[in-house]
This record gives sequence, structure tokens and C-alpha cells, in this order.
Amino acid sequence: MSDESVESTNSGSGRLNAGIDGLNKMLLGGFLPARNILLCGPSGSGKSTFGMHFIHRGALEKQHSLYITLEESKAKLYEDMAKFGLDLKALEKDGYFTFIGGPLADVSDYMQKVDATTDHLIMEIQEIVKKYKTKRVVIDSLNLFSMLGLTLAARRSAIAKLCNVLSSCGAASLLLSEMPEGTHVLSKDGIEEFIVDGVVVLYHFKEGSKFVQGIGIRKMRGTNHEREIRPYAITDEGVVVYPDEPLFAEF
Amino acid sequence: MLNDKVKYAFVAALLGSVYWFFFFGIDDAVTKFSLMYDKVLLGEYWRLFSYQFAHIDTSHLYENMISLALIIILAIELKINANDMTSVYLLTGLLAVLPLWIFTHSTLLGASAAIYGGFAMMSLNLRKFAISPLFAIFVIILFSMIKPINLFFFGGDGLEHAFMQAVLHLCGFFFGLVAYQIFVKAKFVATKRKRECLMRVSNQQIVEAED
Repeated sequence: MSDESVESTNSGSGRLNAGIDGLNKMLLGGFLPARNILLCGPSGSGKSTFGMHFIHRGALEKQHSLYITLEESKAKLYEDMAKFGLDLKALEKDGYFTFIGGPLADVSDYMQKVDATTDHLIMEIQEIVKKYKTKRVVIDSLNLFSMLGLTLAARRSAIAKLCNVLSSCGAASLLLSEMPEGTHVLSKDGIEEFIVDGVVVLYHFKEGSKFVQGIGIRKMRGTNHEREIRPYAITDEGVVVYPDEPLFAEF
Repeated sequence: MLNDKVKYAFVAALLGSVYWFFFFGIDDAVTKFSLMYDKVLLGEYWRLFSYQFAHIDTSHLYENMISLALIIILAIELKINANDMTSVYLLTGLLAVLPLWIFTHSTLLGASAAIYGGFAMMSLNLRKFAISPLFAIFVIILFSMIKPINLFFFGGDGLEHAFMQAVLHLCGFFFGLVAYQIFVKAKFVATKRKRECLMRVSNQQIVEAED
């Protein structure tokens, strides 16, 4: 990732730099603080990478950032992000980044062992956010988090509680959610997109023999935003969004 | 796992039945179960627990039963954990007035101390209704002192008794305040492992990776 200047895009505007210049432009400066943003997309669309840019930028700006995963191990994630130039080990050492979680099976097993519920996970997250005065949180992924609840009602309640806790603690959160391929369904449990303050969608369109990736802002409370779907690419330096280009080339 | 409403219904029915039984079902319950200093010294230790279930007359019984119903309704509304509420209620009934009783050797009976302990728990949770706990505490203290203050300023018999009653109620109230906070804190500390799932799993991965 090219090390753009670390100065915050805030400049008194109070917004949080999303970590990706093109996305900041689409958001007219960045995310509003203490908001819950749902980032949904199909498998392989780069949600975790988007999340890492958000976290990395926060840590560079000396804002404590928290990454919560139920997908992969710490070592694997750090290794993958290092390929994009994101040195998470150094940020963790400096105290601006905390990683918690692991594969869902491990978390679920441990929860069973100590008889914990999703409420305890939410309390754990709340304690960490309050302890470090965390400003940025990424949850990877919300689908897996909600799977820890047994019934649909319990899952919805857990998601609502989590969102409420994060915003009441003053942390902006990016909640990654997997969209089923080829559908327009934004969330698994049908409630997430209504609870959150913003929805950013990653698209995979088939154009001829290739896939074109697009990013669109479906909803963002409290601010105006780009209404068109813009192309993005996952490069050697991470995610690059092209806010001024059309998604499909016109002939 | 029973939900809290079911538990509260059970607690209300059980306590109500016990109070009712002690008053209507046992002859001379006051003499047999009230907290009498001399009797306890003679070995009737059950009185340390039973006194909170004995009542002097129907008015005393109904006042406390109505208050208990009010506490339970508030507890449900404030979503206070039923196990916490019941434990602190009974503990307050058991322990709150003992220090004063040891000092004064007076005869005690009734659930009032436990009831005021219940009010203490409610006042600590009223922030959920945007009511300051301090304000609630002040109101309850004032309420408990109304009778002795009234007698003091306007005269009448029974000032000493009214004052002692108010002090005993306030013993229950302050005991409830402290006991509930200790209880909640202890429970919080006891569930520490449950609130470290994510951290422990990520640390476990580090250990496995190093191995």
C-alpha cells in the first residue's frame, strides 16, 4: 500500500479516513465517527482488505483500532496483509492495533467450554473498546458472528446489541457481511442493513469473459455521498477505488 | 433456562405463600419466629432467618406484600436479573438489621428490611428510565423518615418507635445498596473467562504458531 500522507482527512471535519482515497472521495471526506457501516459483498470481493485499510489508516493516525475476526487465524491474516504493505505487527507493537478472535470453530468450542454466549462476546468487545478508547472497529464477518446465536431472534438481537454498544462507545465500526453470489440480498438475517447507519456494497459484474468489480454506497445516514457504482481493483498495494471512472467503459 | 419473568412469577408466588402461611397458617407465629434476643441466645437460631416472614397484623402483612409486588414489577420492567434480585433480597432480610439488633436487643419481625433492600436495587437501576439513582435514593430516604419527622414536628405518640422503624428500614436500604453492587461486581469478576473468549482464542493461536 502506498504510504499516503498520514495526515487525517479530518481537518476539522470530524470524519474518519476510510483508508482508501477513492472511497473517501465517494464519501465526501470519509466515514462519520461512531457510526456502524455494513460492508457487504460476495466471496472474494476484498471485504477483509477493505477492512484492513480502514484499520491501518486509523492506527497510522494514532487512533486505536480493533479487528475482530471469526474467519481466519492471526498469523494468516498478518501474512496476507503484509503482501499489501500493511505491517500489522508493528502497529500492534505500538499499541494502536488490537487483534482478537480466530476461526469460528475455535471460538465456538471455547464458548461452549466456558458456557459463554454472544452477550459475553459483546461485553468483551465493549470492554476492549472502552479500555483503549477504540475509534475504529472491524468485524469480520457479521454472518459468522450471528451464527453463534441459536435462533433467528437471538441472532437479530445480538446484531442489534452489538451495533448499539459500538456506537454508544463512540467507535466507528465496519461490519463485513457476505452477500450470496448473484443475489441482491444484502444480509443473511435480513435486519443488518436496517440497523446500521451506512451500507457499502461490493459488486462483481460479469463483462464478457471477465469480472468487473464495483463499489456502491447504498446508504449513508447523516451525509451526502456518491450515488453511482464506481470501479475498484485489488492491486499489489491493496484496494484502489476509481471514483471518477465509469463502471463499464462506454463505446 | 427459565426466563426472568417466569422466575419472578415463581419467586412472587413462593414468597407470597410463605408470608401468607406464616400469618394465617401458624398459630402465634410472632412469638415463635420473631427475632427475640433472649430466645436466640437460648439457641433458637432459626429466628435469625424466620423473622423476616412473620408479621404483626394484617395491615403489616398486606403493606409488605404490596411492596413486594411493586418491587417485582419494577424489577421485570428494569430487566434486573431474577437470581440477583432474589439473592440480594433474601440476604438483606437475613443480615441487614443484625448489627442494630445486636446493639439494641429489640424484637424484630417483618420483611420491611428486605423490601427496602429491594427498593435499593431498583434505585440503582433507574438510570434505564433516565432517573438519577441519587435522586431516587434521596426520595426513598425521605419517604422512610416521613413518619418520625411528622411526629417530631407535630407531636404525637410513638416517636421513638417510628424513628427506630425508619432506622431499621434504612439499614435494609443501605445494606441492599452495598450488597447489590458487591453481588453484581462479584458476578462480573466471576464471568471474566466468558468475557475473554476472543482474546484467549487469538492468544491460543499465537502459542500454537510458536509451537
